[in-house]
Amino acid sequence: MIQKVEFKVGLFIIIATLLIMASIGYVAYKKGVFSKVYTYTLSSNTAENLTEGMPVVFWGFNIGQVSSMELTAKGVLIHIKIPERNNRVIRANSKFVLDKPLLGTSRIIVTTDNLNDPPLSPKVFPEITVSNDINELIKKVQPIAEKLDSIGASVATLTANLADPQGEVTRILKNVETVTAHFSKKESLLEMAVGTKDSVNSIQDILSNVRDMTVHMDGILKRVDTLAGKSDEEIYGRDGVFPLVRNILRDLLAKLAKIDITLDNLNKISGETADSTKDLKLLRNNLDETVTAIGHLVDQLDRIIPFQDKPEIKLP
Amino acid sequence: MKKIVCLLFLFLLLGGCSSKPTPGWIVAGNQQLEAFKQQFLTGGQPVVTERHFRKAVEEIKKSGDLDLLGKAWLTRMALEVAVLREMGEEDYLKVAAAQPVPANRNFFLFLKGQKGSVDRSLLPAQYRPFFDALLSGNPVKAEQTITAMEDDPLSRLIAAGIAVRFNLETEAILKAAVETASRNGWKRALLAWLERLRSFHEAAGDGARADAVRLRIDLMK
Repeated sequence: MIQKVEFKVGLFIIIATLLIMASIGYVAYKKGVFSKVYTYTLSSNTAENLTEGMPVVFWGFNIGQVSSMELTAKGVLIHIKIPERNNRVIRANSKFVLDKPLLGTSRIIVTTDNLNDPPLSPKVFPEITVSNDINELIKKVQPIAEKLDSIGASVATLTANLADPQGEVTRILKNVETVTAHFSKKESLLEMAVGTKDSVNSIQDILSNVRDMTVHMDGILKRVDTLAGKSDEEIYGRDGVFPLVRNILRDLLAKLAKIDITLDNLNKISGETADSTKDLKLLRNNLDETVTAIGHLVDQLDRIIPFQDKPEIKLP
Repeated sequence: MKKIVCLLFLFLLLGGCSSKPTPGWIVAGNQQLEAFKQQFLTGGQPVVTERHFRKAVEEIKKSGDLDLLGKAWLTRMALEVAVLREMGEEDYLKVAAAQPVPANRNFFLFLKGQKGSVDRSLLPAQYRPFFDALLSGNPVKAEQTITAMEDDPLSRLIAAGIAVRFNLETEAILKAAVETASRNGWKRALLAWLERLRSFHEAAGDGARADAVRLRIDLMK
């Protein structure tokens, strides 16, 4: 009876031991204790910020660690161990960067452009490059600090200039005074703007030419209208070429008429500065409009002249 | 004044003989694209150059014509080849994905140097002899065909750019490109090709000629 109990206890101990060993073995297997580990050697000119046990990271995953470091005549050799299951990311073109983040511990980051490249030979010692967040930050901040410095200097100069009776700001104010005095002596704002009376006369001549041109344009329109009445519908009809040109010319005439009025007004400019300025602005706007209209006319003529090559967008 | 009136009247009469007018967006798009080419090759201010290209694209977009839009982007890529820059192909590929146009695709492959995939018959006529030379891999033939493209200076530069990309570079090709850019006043292209010529002489160990080219570059800058 006693022997039977001892046998059962012995059997229980053996089975329990086997189960414990199997569990440990399974966990060790899952942790990769029995898998093959590849060792690669990296080189660096300093071991600063490198420590044994430092993680080796690929795409944010820990794929291995620094196992040991060795000081040689040519620099530091860093041995990293990569388990077989992660070894496929270590290729001949892999780059190793020592990343020193602003916060947190340093790590070695692996980047591999093409995972189909041949594996990295254990005989090759790729060099570790250093990425230093703190230094990068300082580099970015430095130009801003320099700009602030220069702004401070400019403000100081400006303040000094304002305080100085011989300074540039005082000189500008004096010039404004002179210009105002000059302005009060001129007969019109136009004379002030162009400088001399001769120039004002030239503008009046142009005005006269514009009037002539307006008369000629009216003549052209009348002749086009006559032609349109006699010609066939396809060329001269509502969507034909002549009505198109006629409309453009009508538009051009309207613009020229506006300039005519504005230039008349310029001749009547009195000492009322605000009104005169308004007229000058109007003249400028009308001139812009006219130039654009003439530009369109040229474009349209380009399109309808048969001798010219048709514009075409093609491969160079 | 009478002359102007007569001239205008002549235009009107000639207008009567014309065929259907070209749409305004083609005229404007073409003008902007030509202005872009000129600015790009002469090294105009980037803001101005880009504005012309953007306006050309805007004009073409008015029509929704993806063939022409693709051509505009291909023109830009070809110009980048002509000044020995890396091509930005992303925008063309977006257009091509929406509407593949065989001739455009073919020209794109030609610019990329994918010789095996290029259909000779779909290439613009001026490039065909050069393409044959490219296929043969013979630098002398490439040189001859590029030199023969006298009538089309831009195509000549583009062909030279493709030849250089695919290791058919010879001194004659580089000189032809330099001469073309110089004659047309395309400063940006000229500087790029002179720089290439200088590197070529340096690589050949001809320091004196490399220095002469460097001097020319320095004087132009």
